Amino acid sequence: MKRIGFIAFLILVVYFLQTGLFTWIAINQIKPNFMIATITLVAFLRGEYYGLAFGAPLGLLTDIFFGPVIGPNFFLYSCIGLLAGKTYYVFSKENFMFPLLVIGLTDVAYNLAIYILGYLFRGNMDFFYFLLHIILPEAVYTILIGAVVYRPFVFINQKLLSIKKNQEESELR
Amino acid sequence: MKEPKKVKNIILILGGLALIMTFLTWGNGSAGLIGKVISFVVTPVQKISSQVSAGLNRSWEGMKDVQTLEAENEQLKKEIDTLRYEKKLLEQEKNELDRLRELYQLDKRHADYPKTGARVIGKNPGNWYETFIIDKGAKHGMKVDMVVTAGGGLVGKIIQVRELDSTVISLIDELSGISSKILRTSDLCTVSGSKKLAQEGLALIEQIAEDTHLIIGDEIITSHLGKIYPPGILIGKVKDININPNKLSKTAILEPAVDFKHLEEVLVIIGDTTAVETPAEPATEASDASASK
Repeated sequence: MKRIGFIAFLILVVYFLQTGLFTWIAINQIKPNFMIATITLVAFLRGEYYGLAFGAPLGLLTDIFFGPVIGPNFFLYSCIGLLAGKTYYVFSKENFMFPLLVIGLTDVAYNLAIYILGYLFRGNMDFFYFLLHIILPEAVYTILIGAVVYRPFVFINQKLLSIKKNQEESELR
Repeated sequence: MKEPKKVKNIILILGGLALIMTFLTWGNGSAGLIGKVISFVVTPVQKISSQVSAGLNRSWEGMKDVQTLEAENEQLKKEIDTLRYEKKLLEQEKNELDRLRELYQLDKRHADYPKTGARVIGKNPGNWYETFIIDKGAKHGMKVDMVVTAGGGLVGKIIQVRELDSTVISLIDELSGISSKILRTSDLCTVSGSKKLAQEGLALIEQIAEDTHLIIGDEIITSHLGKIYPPGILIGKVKDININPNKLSKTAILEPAVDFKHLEEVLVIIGDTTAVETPAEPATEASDASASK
């Protein structure tokens, strides 16, 4: 129960940061995608189910409040959480560069999907313009944000794990 | 190994449902209501503090004891702190009031449409669409397709309404299209959003007949043909004109009257805009008159 509460709290914080603060610190009209950074990092640190637990609500929120339809962001963010969670089993948590690379990849994949769903299907063929002016800058910016929040995330994760460990030990006694 | 995963799944589904429920009722805790909360909190506190100071004044006459004076001094110092804090809050409120007053002045330009103010409380988190949420919803009488303006002119329309807030799509969004006309020549055209131009806060004017005499600086207003947008609302000015090589039509770049980057308060036109369409002519004239100055 505590865990769900904490996840909900974190999601709220991420959502408010993304729709409030990060819309004001946009560089050249490009906002970093803090949501994707969070989902990817959580999935990287805790596995695909946690990725889903962050991805699905954040996607749903984005859809409910901003999207013309409910669905695409929900699906994409959930997929990002689940797929990025696969890296949980493969890579060392000490490696600093790898999660950032994953963040960049998921961000580019997300934006490509949005471009294809929302723009290409409507006949907008300016792919290279969008690639150079939106997709790549956002990926770079999101990686920077990810680099800033990576250490705090690892710290919180370790704190939570150690609390859990202590609780289990005290239960055993 | 399978059992804990199942449990995890159930927990996650429950967590998701709980979150959905939380967010369906969300809106009270959002940033847009802070202003209301401040006034809500400040006024009673102010009443109490004025009562306290009146009581202190009265008791001041009775007790001239040094000790009580000291105690009172302490108390008053504390009060000064709280009052300073309140003063700051009130100053903030005053700034807001000035801004809103300015908005109201500008609003007179097409005052014929009944309007209600709303605050922008969140912006689209992505980089692809230009939507935002305002702090008024079905509870305050908002409906889908209501037209949103700001001090200078048209902003967009409401595409989604929830209980306490609604989503607004701005006219520079890729999915927007507005039937409009050139104020000076009364020629019809269409203002549509374009992601490329939206990066700089601009929009595209399309379907201008080739023989239209268009000059940079022409004002573009909503036309009488639109079903959603009532006529006579200023959209913006022509910034640049592109002539197509096929000579069939030309396009132009529109600079909206509204600064979409710094949009904080908007005015929503309430009431059925189709019903307003008949008495809308004076509004057009009014905006004509003020535009020609």
